Amino acid sequence: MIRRLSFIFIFIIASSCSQLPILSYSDMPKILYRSAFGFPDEEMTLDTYNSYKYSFAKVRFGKGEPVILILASIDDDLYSWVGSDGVKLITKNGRIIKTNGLPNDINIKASNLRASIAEGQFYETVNFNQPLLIGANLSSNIKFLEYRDYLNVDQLIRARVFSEEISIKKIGWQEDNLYIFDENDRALKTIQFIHPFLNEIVIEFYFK
Amino acid sequence: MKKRFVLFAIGLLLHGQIFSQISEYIYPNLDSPSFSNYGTTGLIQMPSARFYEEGTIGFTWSHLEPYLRGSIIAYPFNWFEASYQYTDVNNWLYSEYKEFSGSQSYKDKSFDIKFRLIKETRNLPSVAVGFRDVGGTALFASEYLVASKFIGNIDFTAGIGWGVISGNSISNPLSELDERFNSRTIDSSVGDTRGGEFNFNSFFSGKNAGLFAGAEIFIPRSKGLRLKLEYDGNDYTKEGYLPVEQSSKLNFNLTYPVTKNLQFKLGYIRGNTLNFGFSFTGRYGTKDPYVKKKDPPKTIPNAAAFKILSAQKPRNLYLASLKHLRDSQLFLQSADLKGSEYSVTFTQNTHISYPRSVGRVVRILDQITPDSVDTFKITNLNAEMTMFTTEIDRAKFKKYDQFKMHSALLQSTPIYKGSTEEYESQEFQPPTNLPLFLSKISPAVRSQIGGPDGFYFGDASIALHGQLLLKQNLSILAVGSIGVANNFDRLKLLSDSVLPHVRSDIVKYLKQSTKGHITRLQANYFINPRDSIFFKFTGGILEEMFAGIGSEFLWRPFAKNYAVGVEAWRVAQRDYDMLFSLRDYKTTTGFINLYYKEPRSKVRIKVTGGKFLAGDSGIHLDLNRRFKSGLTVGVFAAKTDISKLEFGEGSFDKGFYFHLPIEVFYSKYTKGVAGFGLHPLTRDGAAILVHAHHLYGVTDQSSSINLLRDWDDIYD
Repeated sequence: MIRRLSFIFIFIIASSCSQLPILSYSDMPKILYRSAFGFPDEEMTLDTYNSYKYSFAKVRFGKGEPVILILASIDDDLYSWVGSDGVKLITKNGRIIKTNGLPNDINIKASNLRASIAEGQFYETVNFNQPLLIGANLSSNIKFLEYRDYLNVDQLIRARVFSEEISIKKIGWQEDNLYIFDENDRALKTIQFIHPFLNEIVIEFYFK
Repeated sequence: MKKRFVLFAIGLLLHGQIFSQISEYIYPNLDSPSFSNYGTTGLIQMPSARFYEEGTIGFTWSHLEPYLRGSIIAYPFNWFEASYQYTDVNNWLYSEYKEFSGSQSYKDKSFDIKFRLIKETRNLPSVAVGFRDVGGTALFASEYLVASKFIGNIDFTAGIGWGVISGNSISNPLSELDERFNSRTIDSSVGDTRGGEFNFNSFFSGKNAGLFAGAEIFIPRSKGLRLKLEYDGNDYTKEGYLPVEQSSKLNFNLTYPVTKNLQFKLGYIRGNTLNFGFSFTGRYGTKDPYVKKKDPPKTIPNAAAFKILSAQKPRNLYLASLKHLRDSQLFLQSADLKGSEYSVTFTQNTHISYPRSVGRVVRILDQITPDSVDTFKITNLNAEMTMFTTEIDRAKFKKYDQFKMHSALLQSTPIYKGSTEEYESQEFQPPTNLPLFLSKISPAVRSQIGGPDGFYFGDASIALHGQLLLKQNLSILAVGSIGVANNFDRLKLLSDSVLPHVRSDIVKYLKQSTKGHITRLQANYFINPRDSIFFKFTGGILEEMFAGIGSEFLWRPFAKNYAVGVEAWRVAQRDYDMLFSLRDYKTTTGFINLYYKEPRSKVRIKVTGGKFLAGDSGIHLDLNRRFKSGLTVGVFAAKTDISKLEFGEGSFDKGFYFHLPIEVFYSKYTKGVAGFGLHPLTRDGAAILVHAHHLYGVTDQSSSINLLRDWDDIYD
């Protein structure tokens, strides 16, 4: 028997059928690109830097759009960074030790031995929520990697790069983080995994 | 002693809870079921009783010789899975006539459904009943009853199957109930219709049924890796066209979730064949399912100064409202300050949630309006027709804002359908610069899959979208495309339909319109003469294949869950080049449309009855469900007074679709929709005119049900 014509229509449209002003689907390639590769990383310009009154951090969560968090307070060596959507990160030496407003928040009881960035093996306890995990033993192994030239706004800085291998044996979680510091031990940029269910968090710090 | 016991009991309970949460780290993605090679949730070849949450859309692909299968899967409800498969059957030719389909292998379309009967509890397994390849050519037709139960980190599955899943034979237990279950006859070739019908008589029938079982073992601390083992229940002599050799009934598979959405799998099947596949699922039903919104309401700089100026004279308030609403993509159409009530009419095209747009209007007005105003009367307008009016108590809006108490606000907020005359009589009517031309350029793709000439044909083009607004309620909508590339050259199969070729000449349309074509050039005029009665008058090029004139009427009572519409069209078929010339075929088509929103399931039922484009008369049924995110999943089917033979392959018209708001992928609110529709067969029977701006869509917000559905967004 001759099989008859059989077609599938697959159509991708993006139009507002209910509202009169038109929309089209020129956004689709952008959506697909961003879904696959994330948002483009734009360099910090001097104008943008100067437009902020206070110290701030450019933070990218996974492939998401970078957001700006403002330095809200410094309590001893704990820096609180807050975003307009309620996200709050608390960092110590550039390392995220507490979060609020993320899909999966964390709270690390940071070791007092880690007053500044230094090589070594550290053991701390961490609480995760969503799902709840209390008092897990977090192992952190910091190593100096190299010196590197780092462009901070319009200044080329001789920076030190450290790697951190973190793990929680109990749940079989292990990740590698990266920290870039200036000569005064101030964090310039970090790439951190802080929770098994969160993608990497990239932070660029801009102090004033 | 008693206190100690209570503390101990609480400790035990908490320990259980904490332990269960630790397991989510050790065995991540336990709640993301994996897929079988048949494209539905399951073990390796066998199905399971697992489901994704409602509002999930997925795609799966697997290669297991001699089959290569792609599947689209949707979950309209937590208890219902529907999937559509396309299978490349490598060991069978598309047809025995080389001049018809060359050496192309056979492509089979099939539709699977699964219903959950029992939800898993601590003691009971999840139980489901499912149907493979219903209403198709029945090459893989099977039915099954299956149970799945988690014990620790192992998800056990066992079931009984009929049809292809009857390899491990036992006598059909249903034969004891009725003799008709004894024989399995699949009527897959009624005359020349070749499939497309549901073989109800064959369900759960056959001399034998078969048992199957397996387990999905979640490997601890391995980021969700699973090992799947199963005792295959398929009888491979019953599947496909040629029997497939089976060396072992044990199948093995490793499934690795790269992310919560993306899984890869590698298996060893039938003791002789390697198998590879992947699946992608997205849970799009919930609010902001993909990207968290970072689009807060705007704060007006120097708002206090504007407030002082606005208090001096109403015109200052009107101008400030116009400016600041426009800055938030909310467009003031009229305003009127009377005593302590400030009435504002606006239109917008940014928010799919209408209450959110109202909330945004209130927030802007609250910043610039004198304190003497205590009520904001806000009316939404579309095509110069009032859609709804709300009266927001300013003090209560602010009071409840702190804790986002939208329900409390709702209790003191009248919502009703305002009159168009009231909007027209308001004091301030900002001048509009009409006519206004809006345009946009976008890429466009047309695809054809699964025809005898080849598996995929498509063209890419640049689409030009334009809209000329002559009046607020009179516009001309235009869509044209300039071709960039296509592979339609090899498309050659012509229609053999015995009905007027209203759709089946698609090959001619595609081939002769590749350089450039006009999809639509449609003039629309809308009026809302009274209450919930709406009219649309339309003329021009209405769609890809038809041009003409027509009108639509809709009665949509504001506070009811039903609506009634009538539409009538006089149309002529367009020439194949899809420009301005017409063919000889002319017809009158028209329908009565009945809409009903079932309150419990939230399913919108649309029944359309009337005369279709090919002159046949009948009923078109469309069911869809809209989720909180705006995702809409729907199915449709139509039956008219033509015979199955006249209709041809497929027997009757059917298909499914889903629409996903593109704001799901954005951190900002936007109103576009990405749609996917699947119409398995292009036949002439039950063909409906596809004109733009259906009144039911245009008046979507003129329904208290739709407003209440999203009322919790008012403080977004």
